[in-house]
Amino acid sequence: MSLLSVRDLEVGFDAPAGEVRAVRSVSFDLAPGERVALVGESGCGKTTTMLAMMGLLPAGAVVSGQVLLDGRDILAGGESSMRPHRWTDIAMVFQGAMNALNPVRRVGAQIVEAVRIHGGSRRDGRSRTRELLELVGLPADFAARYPHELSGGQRQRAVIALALACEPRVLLADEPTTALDVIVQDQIVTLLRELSDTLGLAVVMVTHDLALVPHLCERAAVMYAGSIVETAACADIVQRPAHPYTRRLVDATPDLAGLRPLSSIPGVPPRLDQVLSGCPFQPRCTDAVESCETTAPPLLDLGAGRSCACHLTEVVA
Amino acid sequence: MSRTGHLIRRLLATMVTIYVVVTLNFLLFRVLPGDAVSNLSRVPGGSPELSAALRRQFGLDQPLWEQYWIYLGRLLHGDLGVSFTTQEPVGDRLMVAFGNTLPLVAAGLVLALLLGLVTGTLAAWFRGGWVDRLSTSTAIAFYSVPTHFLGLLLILLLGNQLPTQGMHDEFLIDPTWAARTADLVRHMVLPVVTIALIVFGQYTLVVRSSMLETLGDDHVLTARALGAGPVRTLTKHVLPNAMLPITTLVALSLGGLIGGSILVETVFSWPGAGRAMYESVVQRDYPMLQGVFLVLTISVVTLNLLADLLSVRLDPRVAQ
Amino acid sequence: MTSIRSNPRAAAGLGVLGLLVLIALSAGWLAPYDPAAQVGQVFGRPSGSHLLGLDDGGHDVLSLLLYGTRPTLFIGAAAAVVAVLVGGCIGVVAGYFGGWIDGLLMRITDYAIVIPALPLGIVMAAVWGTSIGQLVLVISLLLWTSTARVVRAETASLKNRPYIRRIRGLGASHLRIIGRHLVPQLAPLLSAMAALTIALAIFTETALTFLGLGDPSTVTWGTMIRFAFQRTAMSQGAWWAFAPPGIAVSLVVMCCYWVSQSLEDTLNPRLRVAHLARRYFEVRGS
Repeated sequence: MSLLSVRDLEVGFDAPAGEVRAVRSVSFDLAPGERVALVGESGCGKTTTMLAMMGLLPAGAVVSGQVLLDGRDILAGGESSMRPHRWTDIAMVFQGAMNALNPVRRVGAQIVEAVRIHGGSRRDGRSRTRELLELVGLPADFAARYPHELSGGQRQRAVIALALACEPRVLLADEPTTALDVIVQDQIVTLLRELSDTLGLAVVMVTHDLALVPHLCERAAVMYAGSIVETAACADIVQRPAHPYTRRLVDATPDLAGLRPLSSIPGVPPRLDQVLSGCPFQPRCTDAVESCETTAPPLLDLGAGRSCACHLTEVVA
Repeated sequence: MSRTGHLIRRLLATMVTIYVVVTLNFLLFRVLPGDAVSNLSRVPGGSPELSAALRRQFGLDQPLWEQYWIYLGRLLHGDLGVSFTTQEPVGDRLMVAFGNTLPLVAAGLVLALLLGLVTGTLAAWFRGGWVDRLSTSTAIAFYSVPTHFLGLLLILLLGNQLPTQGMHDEFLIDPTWAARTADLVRHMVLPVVTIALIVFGQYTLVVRSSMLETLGDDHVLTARALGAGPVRTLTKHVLPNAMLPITTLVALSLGGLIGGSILVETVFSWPGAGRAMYESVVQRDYPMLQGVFLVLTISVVTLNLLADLLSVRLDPRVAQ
Repeated sequence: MTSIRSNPRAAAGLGVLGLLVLIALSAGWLAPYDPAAQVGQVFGRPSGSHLLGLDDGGHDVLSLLLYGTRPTLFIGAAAAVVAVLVGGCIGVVAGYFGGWIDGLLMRITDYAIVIPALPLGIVMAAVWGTSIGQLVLVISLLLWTSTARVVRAETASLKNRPYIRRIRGLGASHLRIIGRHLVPQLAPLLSAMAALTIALAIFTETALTFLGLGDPSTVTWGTMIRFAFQRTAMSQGAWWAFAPPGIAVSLVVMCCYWVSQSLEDTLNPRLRVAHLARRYFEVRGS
């Protein structure tokens, strides 16, 4: 049985122009200790999926589907059934680590608070803080510092330490390396990999940077316009992309395109407040055929852990 | 820059400001058009003799620089001159007056802060709902009412139940300490409520917008994700951060608070600094007016410094 | 401007202010009695012939109120115009030229801003005199500081926009850049500050007058409240002698506040974006 499975997750927001369907029937599984990447352009619903999994969407959001932890749906009971699982089972590293820590409280105090909310004593919290800071490669006396006294990379490490405070089994990392320079990006990704290995931690990383994915994850799911369009092992995604969108994404990523010329993807993603008929990528797809305009392709299992949502899959593969 | 450096810089700036205020106080009364003495000697029964006496008393027959040095020298010795009307030293009268004003303004400020924090927080929490609309409109309404008019309205509404004049009931026979205190508190109610109602509106609006801003901060999302409930999120993560801009604004509002206290003390005949200022205007008691202005202004400047120190204490980032 | 139309409070505020200007202009025609004449019993109750009753001198309160609109609005508007002009000039010069000019002007503004306004106004009016002209001057000297600060900040940021830099690079004179390019951009901000300053000016006039520092020869709403207070309207229970002018002042201040708020909201698109962002992350009570 998988540790965490997301089944038919749908998220909608009420907006003046009509309902925005930000996440559309997203399903995926996560085994203990497994590392999966959720890849796509900004605005494709990656972050919304993560927030929905933690029950952190704003009041106006309409969520349906299931998030099964050990086979039990934690989404069904709302805030009260979600709260005991937050941080003890599923923790999150937020996008923009610069602001994820409270600027007027010391780093240590924030980690202690997480421990205490989940029943630990103040003393437990202090010793745990020392352990955690060491674990993420920070000196223990950083506990007494304020967030603004840390560099970007140090702050991201502190945020990861905070995420690990209650020994979660799943870590959701939302763009954990944005706004960091390349060398620090590498260090953070390496740290996440090591932590996942030593603690048996399952990781879901959300990123728009496909090049980062193979360094951390075994599997990747590519999202477009709120849906998953392709899942495969990282190596396959990068070397043998099946979906036309994935291919374009690979070609647009400097570190992956290799000797081929870099190309950007023409056009823009569809607006999510409008009804989409046919394949959402069709307007930007160079290989589109007639059926792409009329029917949306289902996510088909191609065997060997691959699936793809494209009418042309057989032809391409 | 270090925190100590920041503190020293602020302290110096405050001292310079006080010096500027002291000099302004001198200039306002001496070099502005319409020589103050000629204005002041226009009191009923004024005469050339009075005018000449006034000139001598303030050393106006001396050159300006000379006058300035005399003024500064006296000030350094705490000598603020002698009141025209009572012939007492201005300093002594001011001590008593400020002693009476302090509890009034302090109680008004505390009450206003409480009102502002509660209504502002509620408005932010229920943003867009009727609670929000009710508290912001009430805030703006009270913000728009002239202080003395509100005082008069309260006298009209509650004047039957509560004392409306002065600090004490003069006709208490042989009062115990407790009875005197109770009497004082009863006398304080209306003026304090007036001050609080006048200023709380701005606090509501600032608390509301500051809370809304903080509610949108990423670290609040982190707190919720940690499993913190709404009460904990609000008290530990939103309010402390939202307090920073609020502290600054409260400091800025102190001048208005002091201004309001002048009107309130006039309406309620409260024998404080504001009332002293009003009386010195009416009686053209020039040294007294100068003294009240100086002490009022210096207290506002000093309170501003205190608020600044407080915000350094609350926000570790300020000094950077 | 579109948002002013779509904002009912701002529309109401502008409407009421316009109405008051009309009343001020036609006071002589609207007022039922000569405001200076004794036309009935001292502190007479409101009645059919005296809708708002009579004051301590037997004057008709409604007529006083209507005539009082004139000097009240005049002092408010004139002081606001002077204050915004002074503050605006200081702000533009400081923000545009920067350097030591900026430092000097802003230091002066800092000193002026910490001095509590009403006590300073009291002292200036007491020393200087309290004719209408002097009152306007005193009030405007109290109220220019916030405009100076806000305008300086805005100018400093406008100055560095690429198109202003380009125009400077083309060799346009300072005067031309300020007059043709900066001031039009600052206009909405200046009008928001003017609206707010009118409110504060009327407030200050009422307060100074209440403390005996008004122009004794004119009847403003402020003097009406003062006389009612001084001449025992309270002990007579004659609320009608001070409630109408008090409510009138409150109304004008509230209208100015609404207008200035909505102007500020349209000016600050960041605020509107922030609303969206906030909604997105708003804490949900459980």
